[in-house]
Formats: sequence, structure tokens, C-alpha cells
Amino acid sequence: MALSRREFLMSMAGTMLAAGTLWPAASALAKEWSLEDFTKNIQSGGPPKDGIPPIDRPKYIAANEAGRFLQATDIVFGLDHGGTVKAYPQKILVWHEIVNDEFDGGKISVTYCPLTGSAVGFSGRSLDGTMLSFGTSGKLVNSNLVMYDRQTDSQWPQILGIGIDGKSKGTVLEETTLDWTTWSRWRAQHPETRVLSTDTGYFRSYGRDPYGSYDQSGTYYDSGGPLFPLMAKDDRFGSKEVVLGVKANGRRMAIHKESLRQKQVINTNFSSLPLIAIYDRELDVGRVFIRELRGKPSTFVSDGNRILDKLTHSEWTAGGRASAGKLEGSRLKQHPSYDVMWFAWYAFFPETEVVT
Amino acid sequence: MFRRSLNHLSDCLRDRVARRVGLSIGVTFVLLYLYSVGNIVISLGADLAFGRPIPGASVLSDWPSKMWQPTAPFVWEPVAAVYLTRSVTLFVSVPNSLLALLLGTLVGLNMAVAIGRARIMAGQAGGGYMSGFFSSLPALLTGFTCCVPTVILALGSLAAGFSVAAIAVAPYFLPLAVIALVANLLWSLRQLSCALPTTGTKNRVQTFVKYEQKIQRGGIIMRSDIMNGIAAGLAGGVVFGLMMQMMTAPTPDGGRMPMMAMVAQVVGSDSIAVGWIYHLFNSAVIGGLFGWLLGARAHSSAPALAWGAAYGFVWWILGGLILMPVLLGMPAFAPLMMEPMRMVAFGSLVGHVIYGVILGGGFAMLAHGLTGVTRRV
Repeated sequence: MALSRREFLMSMAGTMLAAGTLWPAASALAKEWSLEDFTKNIQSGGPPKDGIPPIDRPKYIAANEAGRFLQATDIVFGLDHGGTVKAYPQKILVWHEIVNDEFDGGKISVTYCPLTGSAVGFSGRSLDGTMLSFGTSGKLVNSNLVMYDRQTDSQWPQILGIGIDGKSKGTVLEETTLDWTTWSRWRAQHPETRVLSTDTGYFRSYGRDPYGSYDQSGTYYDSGGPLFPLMAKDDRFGSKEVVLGVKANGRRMAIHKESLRQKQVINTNFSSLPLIAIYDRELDVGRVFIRELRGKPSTFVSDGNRILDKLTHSEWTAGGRASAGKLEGSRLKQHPSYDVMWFAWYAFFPETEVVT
Repeated sequence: MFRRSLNHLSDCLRDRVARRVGLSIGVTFVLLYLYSVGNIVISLGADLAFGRPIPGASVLSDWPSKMWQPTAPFVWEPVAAVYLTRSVTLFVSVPNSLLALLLGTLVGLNMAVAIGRARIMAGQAGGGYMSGFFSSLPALLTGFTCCVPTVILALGSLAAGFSVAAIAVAPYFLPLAVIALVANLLWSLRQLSCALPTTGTKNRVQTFVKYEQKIQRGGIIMRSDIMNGIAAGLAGGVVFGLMMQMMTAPTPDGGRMPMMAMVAQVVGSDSIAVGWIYHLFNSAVIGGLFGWLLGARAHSSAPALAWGAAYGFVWWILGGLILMPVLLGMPAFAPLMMEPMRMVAFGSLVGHVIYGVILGGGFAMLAHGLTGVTRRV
């Protein structure tokens, strides 16, 4: 193809103009993003729709069979929901990112985004009441997985949990908390657990993590910065440091996980909700509960070994159940939260509150 | 003319060295390509079979529908697995394998023709060796689009700034590679055809040798070569400039500054606009220089891309590693020696090579009106 020099230069000028319009709309102010802002900042991650295929027909095996491919320190996402106990190994989910699963109460999609280190369960309904199931769009925003739903074909960034376009624009998904822990810890606490098997309907090298390693230091998961442009940046914490992301009534809060590890218990008020974050030493997870006893907010303390409430001095487990004292047997209501890398949480929610 | 090209093709293949080298490079390419798309998995120390008996195999029950499900542009889902050893697994995808065979065949043929031609000329190399190899680079890169973040991680995180730009281009890698390989093959064969008369082998060789000698002598430096170099250099400069706009570099006081602002500082300004003007001016001049020095070799696309890339690499050393640090008050090669700057140096390398490739390709596109035949001086 032979071009005249003028045609050549004009086409380059046109390309420059086009490239200019593709740049992300980044802001230095701590403003709250609108749904349109997210739509504008979607980038292609490489694969086509469902090129990273979700697992739609998950199969489960017993805990002792799982020992064949799970090592003690392998990361699993544990879910104890309505009597069913399941573990989803990270080394499988890193290749599929979504498992569309069914529980007695309905559908829960277990989702994991390797680049932002976030694992959370979602349930949602379309406007006519059908339960949603999700696929991967192959696109990213702030390095985070953008899901799409198979019923209305709207797009849903995982960390946001809200539809940003299409028929489900503005729909907020219900979150289910997963326990991000290791296989040996989960199995010790739940010996009867079922485990997602490698019989996924796809061939992948499940022994290999294409992004980095949670077993060695110095790989993507704990060092370096994000790979794709961000809508907002902040260096209060290191990029890959883990925070617990909490949402309530349209407001967002990040609880620094290492601080929670040190303090065992953090009482806080958030969006007119009295909340408490409790560190579970056995599983190395943090959970968030609503700290209301007998209808009134109450403060909890930890003496290093036991967790006590100031109202009745009952003893509480890290799972939010009273194990001794006046309120023995009561349970605190858990509020959804999930582990996520700081850079990603901030990029989505520059207006976030921070608790350390 | 087509039959003559086929005759010359079989001439090249009749040469034993050309045939063997072409075959081994073709086979190596097939294996590398399948490895790059994840269909050949080698993971020392891991047990990929998860306790299954070795050797073993399994096939998906829904293979007819899965076979055509894409995992990346021009990469499809495997429908069978062969567990050869604990560390080596083959994931079988018929479309991937067919594509690998097609590409491997094209690469092998290109190599065989390049070598055959060179040997027929009895020792005069010209641009022949380089062209086949560099045409096949885009196809290897295609294999990585299935998991672009993985490639970015391999290249270093600072590369994300312009690798993200590369994602938009990735779906075109494969068709471009096939087109470039076929075009280069036909072009090489046509050059043989045009130069050789149809009578007698001995005459053919002599005429061909004389023809190649004329090309080698170069002759007139075309003024249009310089103008085309300037235009193509500007194009490469725009793309490289956009990359530098997105990359940041550490400053001596511990902060970070966009690369384009550092460029501006070379001429004593802090303004990004000044950086752009200075950068584009350089791109044009260096592009013109390319046209002057290498224009004669860069009239067909494959050698042009190769020479452009090499030229960009040389300018990375001259400009990126020596001139720019020195003009900014740092020692030469400083970016390679200081830890935080190394990533920037690497990003600069990729940027310079991309500049060179666009320069070479653009130059060849603009110069295409001139064929080897009419340039007989």
C-alpha cells in the first residue's frame, strides 16, 4: 500500500487525536466517582468475553481428597453459609475468577480478582426478579475485574458491586463475606468442608499462578505497583497492603488489616452504624459485625486473649458468638467486608474513610 | 510469473542447508508458539497432573462447542490434555495447532528462501537473513495476548504504561504477522524471478550476482529517502512521545516526574509542551538520518522493520543512555546503574525500539513506489 506523504501525516494526526480521547479521566481531588466515570475508565485487559471462563458447573470433593493438589499454605476462600461449608482454592480461581454457585437460599457467585487481591461473593436480581449469574468481560477498571451479567448484559466492576450501564445500571449487589485464609487453617476449623475440584470443564495448569506467588515475597502480589492506569492514587499505605473494604448506606470505609491484627478488636462508628472489626487468629481473617447488644451500641475490648463486651462482660469468639457470660449463645450480626489491595480500594473510592 | 516463483522456491528447497535450517526453525517456531499460548506447559517442581497416573490423557465431554471458544484473539480453548510427565503437560487445541503449523510453515519457508537465495548468490548476504526472522516476531507476541498482564509482569511493571496501549493493537498482531510472512515470501521469490532470465542455470546465477552487486553498491542517496525518513520519524515520535507522557521517572529529590518533563529539562524548560516540540524535532531529524544512511536497505517492509528496530536500539544507547543523562548532569549509563532508574531505562528501550519499528515500517510504506527492479542504477 503506497501512501503519499501528506496522507500519511494526516492519518498520524488523526491517530494522535483519537489517542487523546482514550486517556482515563483521572482526578487529584478526593471526590466520589459517578457510574459514568467508571464506564469512561474501562480498559481492555486482553482476553475476550469469557476468555477467562467462569465455572458454571462446579464440582466438589471431600477434604482428604483435596490434599492431593492443595498444600497447607495454599490460599483458599472459605464460605460457611446456611449449613454448607465450602473452600474455593485460589490456585483454581486465579484461572476462572468467577464460580456461579448455588446454595439453599439461592445463587451466590464467588468472585476473585487476582490483580486487586479481592474475593467476595455476590447475589443479585434483574428488574424482573431473575437471579443473576456472571461472566468475565475481559475488561478492567482500576486493574479490577469487570463482570457482566448473563441476564441483562450490564457491566459490574467487582470492587464496586454496582451495575454501571445497561438495564441494571444502579443495581447494588448483595455481598457475602468470604474468609481469605490458608488450606491448613480452614481445614482445622472445618474438617467437614467440601473443596472445589479441578474438574472445572476446562484445561488449565492449576499448579501455576500466572500473576505472581503468595508463597514467595517479591512478586506482583506484595511488591511493585498496579499494572493498569488508576482513577485516583494515595500513598497512605503501600499499594498492595491489605485493607478490609466496608460499605454502608452509600459510604465506604477501609480498615487497615495489619492494624486490626495488632489490636485484635477495633470499635468504630460508620455511616450511623456502630461497627466492630474482630481479628480471627485461627484463620488470620478480619470480620466486621454490628456491635449492638439488646438493641443498644456496645463497646468491645480485647485483653490479648479474650474478647469481652463492656455491657455484660460476656466472652465472645472471633466469629461473633458469645461463648460465656450473660449473653452466652447470642450472635452478632455480621456486616459484609472483603480483603482488597489498598491501591484498588482508593482508586474506586477516593472519598473512603480510613480506620487504623 | 507465479510458476517461476514456484520454480525458484523449489530451487531454494533443493538446497540441503536451506531445507534443514528452514525445517528446524519452523519446528522450533511451532513449539515456541504453542508454549506461548499455554498449550505446552512446563513447570519444573510442580505436579501439574495432581496425582493422576502418568502418562495419561483426558478429553472434555463437550469438546465440539468448547473447541471454538476463544481465550484470546486467535487463541482457542484446549479440549484434551496429555499428561506426559509430572512437569510437562500438553493441552490440545486443534485450531491453535493448525494456526501454529501455518505460522511455522511460513516462517520455515521464509528462512529457507532467504538462505537459499543467499547461497545461490554464493556468499553475498544482503538483507536476506534478517527479514524472515523479524517478520515472525509479531506472531510470537500474539501468543501472549491471552494473558496480557502476565506479559506485563514479565516485562516489568513500568512497561504497563505503553503495554496498555499495546493491548489495543494485539488482536492485529496475528493477521499482520501472517500477511508480513506471506508478503515477504512472495517478495523474495519475485526478486529472484525478476532478476533471473529463464535460460540456463549458470546464466541465472551470474545475472543474479550482478543484480545483487548493483543493489549493494547503493548509489544515489535519494532526496525522497530523507523526506520519507522525516515523515516516518515524526510518526514514530508521536507514539514514543505518548508513551513518555504516560511514564514517570524518579527525580533526584525522591519525587516522580513524567518522562516528557525530563525531556523538556534537557533544553532548560519545565513545560511539557516544550518537551513535545523538542522530542518531535529530534524524531524528525533522526528519522531523516535513517533515510539517508539506511534508506537503500529499507525499501521492502521486512528488512525495513528489522533495520528500524536496530536503529532504534542504537539510539537508545546513544540518546537514552548517554546523551540524555549527560545533558541532565548525570554520568553516562546512569539509568542502568541506579536501581530506581533501571525500570525507566527499560521503558526507554522499548520505546526506542517501537519508534524504530514504526520508522522502518512507515518508511517502507512511503517508499513502496520504488521496486528493486526500477532502482537499477
